Amino acid sequence: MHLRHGLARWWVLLGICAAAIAWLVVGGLASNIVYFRTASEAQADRVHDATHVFRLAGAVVPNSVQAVADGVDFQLTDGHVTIPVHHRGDPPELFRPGAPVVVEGHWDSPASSAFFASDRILIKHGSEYSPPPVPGQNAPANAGQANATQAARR
Amino acid sequence: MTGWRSRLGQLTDLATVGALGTLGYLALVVAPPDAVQGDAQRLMYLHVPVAWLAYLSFGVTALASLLYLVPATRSLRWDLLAGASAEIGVVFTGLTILLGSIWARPVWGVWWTWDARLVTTAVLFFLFLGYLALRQVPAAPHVRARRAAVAGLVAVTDVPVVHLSVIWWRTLHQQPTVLNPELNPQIHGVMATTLLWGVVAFTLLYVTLLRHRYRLAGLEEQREELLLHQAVLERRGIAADPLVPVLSDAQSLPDTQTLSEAQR
Amino acid sequence: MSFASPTTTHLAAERRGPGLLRGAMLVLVKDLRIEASSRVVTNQVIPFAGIVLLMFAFAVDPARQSLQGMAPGLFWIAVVLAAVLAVSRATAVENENGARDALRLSGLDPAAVFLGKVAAVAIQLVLLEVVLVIGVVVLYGFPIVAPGLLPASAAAPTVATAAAGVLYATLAGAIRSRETLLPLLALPVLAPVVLGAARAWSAAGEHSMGEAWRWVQLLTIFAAVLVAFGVATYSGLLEEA
Repeated sequence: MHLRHGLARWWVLLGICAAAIAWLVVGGLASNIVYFRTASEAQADRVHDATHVFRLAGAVVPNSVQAVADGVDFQLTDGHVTIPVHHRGDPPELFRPGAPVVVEGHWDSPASSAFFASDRILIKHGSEYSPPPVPGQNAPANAGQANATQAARR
Repeated sequence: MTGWRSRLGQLTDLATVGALGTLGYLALVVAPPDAVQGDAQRLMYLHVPVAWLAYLSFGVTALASLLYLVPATRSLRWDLLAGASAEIGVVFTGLTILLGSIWARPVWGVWWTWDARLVTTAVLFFLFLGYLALRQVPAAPHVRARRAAVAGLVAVTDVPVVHLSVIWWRTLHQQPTVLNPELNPQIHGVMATTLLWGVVAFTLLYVTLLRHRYRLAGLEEQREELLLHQAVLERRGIAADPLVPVLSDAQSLPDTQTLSEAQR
Repeated sequence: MSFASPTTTHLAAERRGPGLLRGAMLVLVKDLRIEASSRVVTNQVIPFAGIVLLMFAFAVDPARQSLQGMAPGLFWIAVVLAAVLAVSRATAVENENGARDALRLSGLDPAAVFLGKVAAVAIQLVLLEVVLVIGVVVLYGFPIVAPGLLPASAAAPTVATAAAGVLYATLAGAIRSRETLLPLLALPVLAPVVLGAARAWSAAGEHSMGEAWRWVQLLTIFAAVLVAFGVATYSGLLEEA
């Protein structure tokens, strides 16, 4: 008697777990936890965000990197929207044109022409691994670009 | 019967050492440096297999806990196995975090960041630390086993969350290279072989560690029983029991069968 | 159960005592009575949570802006810490004078005991939360922008906290080191609750109702799974010792 009772409850538990997983997947509840936002999303939420701190992801636009007195200026793009970024401090070692990065910071001012003031740069690495290319082909930058567009697509 | 068992055990020990040595050679010499990350990427050949070993340990803990809770298969052996496996899992979860951190510093630029994969892994670590603490508490074997089994089943639910965190949520941590939803490994040939070899080597390591830890857990239980037995005899005023000569020496312990016969 | 003849069902029902809900109600009333006479939650746990709120304010930059932003997180941490204390105390009462054995031999369905205890703890937590909300509004300047969403989003985390607390307190039951073991066991399980509840309230504070609602759904799922787990395993845990 007791045993059958217990067994029925285990089935109920299994059922609830299955329903929970289904709900999670179908309801798209997972979208809540976001480590970074893309340039397009950041642009769209600009008024709402004001000068709150958030993380912004994209690829460093080639030929846009300029060393300035207290850090580095560059443009960040997700393929649709490009945002000017001013970073205070030294960028990390793997920071280079075309690299996929996540910058932590905030809009400098609520104005629509404001730049993004960053105080931390993280390199977002994709899940592809390959040996360095044969000299002559400029592949690392391309690989970086591919990662960046992949990152931006997410 | 014990003869071929111990020989098989020795064979696994040797195979583990050999596989780990080969992995070291493959990872450090044969595999090329990564196009973007350079040599730092070589840490992946440790980080990924170590994480796999942690998953495997907790999976075995969950299975053994479940087998203990099901009345038809209830046995304290499952409980010992669950405990032994969880101990290995905790050590390797900690190692996963440590290795990841060492890799993240040159590649991401930080030791730690509040990303879903990292946070869920840290929670996993603490869940099983709690599980081990619960096991440490003295109690009758079956009472302890039932408590531990329930706590282990709760804790293990975090394992799939850790693995899927990078797919469910947008994270800084990269998505699975091999076990991705598209089942399309995005890794160059030699690197893929090295990684696969790492997983095989660490699976062997797990088998070896678990075998030794499980055997040790059995001996510990036996020792407890004997100490109890001796205490009971001392209470009764029988000081020197010829059956329990030197308790500290595990080799000279009589097996439990002799003991229970003596108790009768 | 459907295979049993009417006679056996009748006998079994008699042996098992009251049904699930009635049994849970009995345990709930019993636990609330104990609290009413001992006043541990009202006289010790709630003041403790209050001083925790004050300490947070001392520890962080007391500029109003930052405290306001952190209010939901600090609130839920205070709730969870206080809940661990309250549950630990409630189990200590259960372990004295063989009360646990009496409960076990009472003929009540263990699942009913679990549900009753969870309900009792949840009710005490609601009391605690009401006091703490007043605290964060007054001390931290937390704005209440969605008076309807606040209680709705507090329900699931409260039930989840109570369920995890009761489950683990029973696990750590008669153990001497319970006071130190319980937080170690319960807090990692409650980490998602703190995260989800704090985010839900923050989102509500920023008028992002869609996001807040998604968090409430997640928390509800979590609470449901924890309660179901407790119902399934509690008979085993109560029978031991």
